[in-house]
Amino acid sequence: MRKALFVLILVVVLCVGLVKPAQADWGDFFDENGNLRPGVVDLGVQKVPVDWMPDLPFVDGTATYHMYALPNGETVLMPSATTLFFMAVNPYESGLLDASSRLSLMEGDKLVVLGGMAGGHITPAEFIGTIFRGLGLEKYFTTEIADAILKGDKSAIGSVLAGGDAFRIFQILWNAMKNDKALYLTFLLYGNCANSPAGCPPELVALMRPTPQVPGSPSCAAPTVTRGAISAKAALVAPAKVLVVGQDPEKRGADLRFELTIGPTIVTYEELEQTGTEQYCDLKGYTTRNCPKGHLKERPIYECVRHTVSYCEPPTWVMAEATLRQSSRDWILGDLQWYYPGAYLHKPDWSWRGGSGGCDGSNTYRWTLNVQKAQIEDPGWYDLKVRGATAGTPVTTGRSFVETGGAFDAWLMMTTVIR
Amino acid sequence: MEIKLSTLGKILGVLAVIVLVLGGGWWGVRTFLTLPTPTPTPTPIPDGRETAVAALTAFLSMDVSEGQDAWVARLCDLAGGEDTNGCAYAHLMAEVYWPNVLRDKKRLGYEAQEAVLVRDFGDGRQVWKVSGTAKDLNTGETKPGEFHVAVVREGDAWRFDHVLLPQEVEALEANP
Repeated sequence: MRKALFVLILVVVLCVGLVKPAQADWGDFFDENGNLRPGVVDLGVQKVPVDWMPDLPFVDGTATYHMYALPNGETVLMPSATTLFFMAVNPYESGLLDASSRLSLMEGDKLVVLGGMAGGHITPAEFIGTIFRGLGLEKYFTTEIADAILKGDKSAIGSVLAGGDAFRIFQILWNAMKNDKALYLTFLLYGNCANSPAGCPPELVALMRPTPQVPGSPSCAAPTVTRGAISAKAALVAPAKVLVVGQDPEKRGADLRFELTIGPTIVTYEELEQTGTEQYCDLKGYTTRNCPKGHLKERPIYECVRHTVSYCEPPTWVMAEATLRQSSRDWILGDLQWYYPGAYLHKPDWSWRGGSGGCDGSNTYRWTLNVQKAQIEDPGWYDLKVRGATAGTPVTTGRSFVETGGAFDAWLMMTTVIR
Repeated sequence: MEIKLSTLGKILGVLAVIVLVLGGGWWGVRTFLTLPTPTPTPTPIPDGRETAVAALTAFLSMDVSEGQDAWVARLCDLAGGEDTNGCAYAHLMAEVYWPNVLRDKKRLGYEAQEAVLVRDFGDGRQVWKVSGTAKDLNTGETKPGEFHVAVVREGDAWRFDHVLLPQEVEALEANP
C-alpha cells in the first residue's frame, strides 16, 4: 500500500513538476520508481509529546508520525489520522503550515493534492479542507470552517463539534482509520527535522553528528561549527526617480525588492575510518620482508577522515523595512521649513511582511520580497533593511538579525528639483 | 350412640374450620368489596449525570497495570457498545494518551465531586461539567480536573459520547 502511495507521489512530483526545486525536495527521498532512496532513513513511528492536544492531568497528548529523514536533517512526516485531525484544528500550534511542501491523498488513491508554502498553488485553507475531506469529515468541516480555523476563530470548530450531526465525527474518523484508508494520508516535507513537529529523534541526531572516538585510537580533531553568514540586498526597482506621492498625480510610488540570504551552518568533524590494510609479521624481531611463512598477517589501517554536514537555517519571521535617514529628517524639519512653513514628517518608517523563501540544495536559505507602489510621502534618503530571527539548527541556537541591504531616495519638486 | 373424637381429629377439625372461615372471608372481600387498585408511582427519567460522572472517572483512570484494552473496553461499555461514537472516541484517544501512560508506567485515578448540567440540547444530548480530583497513584500527587462530558440518550439509558475538546467548551461558553 505504502509503495503504491510513493509511486503515486513520484508520478505527481516528477511528471507534474509542481514542487519548487528551491525547497527541500521530494526527489531527495524517493527515486523515479517510488522507492525510498538508499540514503533515506526510515525512523518508523515516532510518538512525540505535544502541547496542542487536549490536556489531561498528569498525561501529555502524544502525536504519532511515521518519519523518514536524511542525514542532512531533511524530514518527511506522515501523521496518523488522529494526529492529523488535531493538527488540522490547530494548524499554527502543530506546525502543520510550517512544512515546506505537502502532499495529500484523499479517497484512497483518487486524487493527489500538492501544496507548498513557496509554491503556493493551494492555499492553507484548501489544504486543511483537503485533510478534512480525506478524513471523511467534509460534511462538518467545510472550507468556511477551515478559513475560520486559520483566522484563529476556534469557536467555529467548537460550533461544528457541538452541532447535532457532528456527534458522530469520532466514529467517522475511527472507521476511516480501521479501514486503513486514512491511516497516513498526508505527507509533510520539512527542510530540517528541528523545524518539524516531530523534532530530531536521537537516532537521527546520532546520524547527523560525528561518532565518538574509540578509546585508544588516533586522536581526531574536535568538530567545529561555522554559522552561515546573513546578508541582505535591497534596491529600488522602479521608477528611476521616485517622486513623493503628494506631488505625483498618478501616485506611482516606489517598487522595491528585498533579498535575504542565510548561509548554511557547517559542521566539520573527523571520524576514525578504515582507509586500507597493511601487512605485518606477528613474530617479534621480524619484518614483513623476512617473516617466516604463516606469520605474515594483515591488519586494518585507521585514519581520521574529515567530513562536513550542512544545515539550513530558515528564519521564523522576516520583515523588510525602509527608514528615512536622520539627515533627511533634520532637513525636512529644518531647511524645508523655509520653503514650506509647518513641514512635518508624514511617514518616515515603513515595514512589510510576506515574501517567499526556502532552502536550496546547498542548504542556503534565500528569501525575496517585492514591494509594489509604496506610497512614499517624505522626501529624502531611505535605508532599506531586512530584520528577522531564526530558530537555529540542530547544532546552533536561534539568532536575530538586522541587515542593511541598500538605499534609495525620494524626490520633492520645488522651483528646482532638490533632494 | 356415642361418638368419640380422638385428639388428632379435634385438631384437624379446628384447622378445617379456620381454612373455611379464611377462604370464605377472602372470597367475600374479593366479591363484595372494591379496593382501590394501587397506581404506580411515576419514575422520573434519569438524566445523564450518572453516565457523565462514570465516563469521566473511567476516562481519567488510566492504569498501566490494567492496560489500554481494559481502559477502552470500559469506555466502550459506557458508550453502549463497539459501534458508537463514544467507543470510537476511546479508541482514538487511546492513541493520544496511552503512549505516555505506558512509557511512564502511570497509574492514575479520578474522583468526581460535582456534576453540573451546562447544556441540554433537548434531543437526547446533554453536556455535563464534571469537577473532581485526579490523582497520580504512584506519587500520591493530586490535581483538580474539570471537564465537559457529552452524553446521549439511547432509549431509557444515557451513553457516553465524548469529552469535549477545548474548542467545543469555548463555543459553548460563547453561546450560553
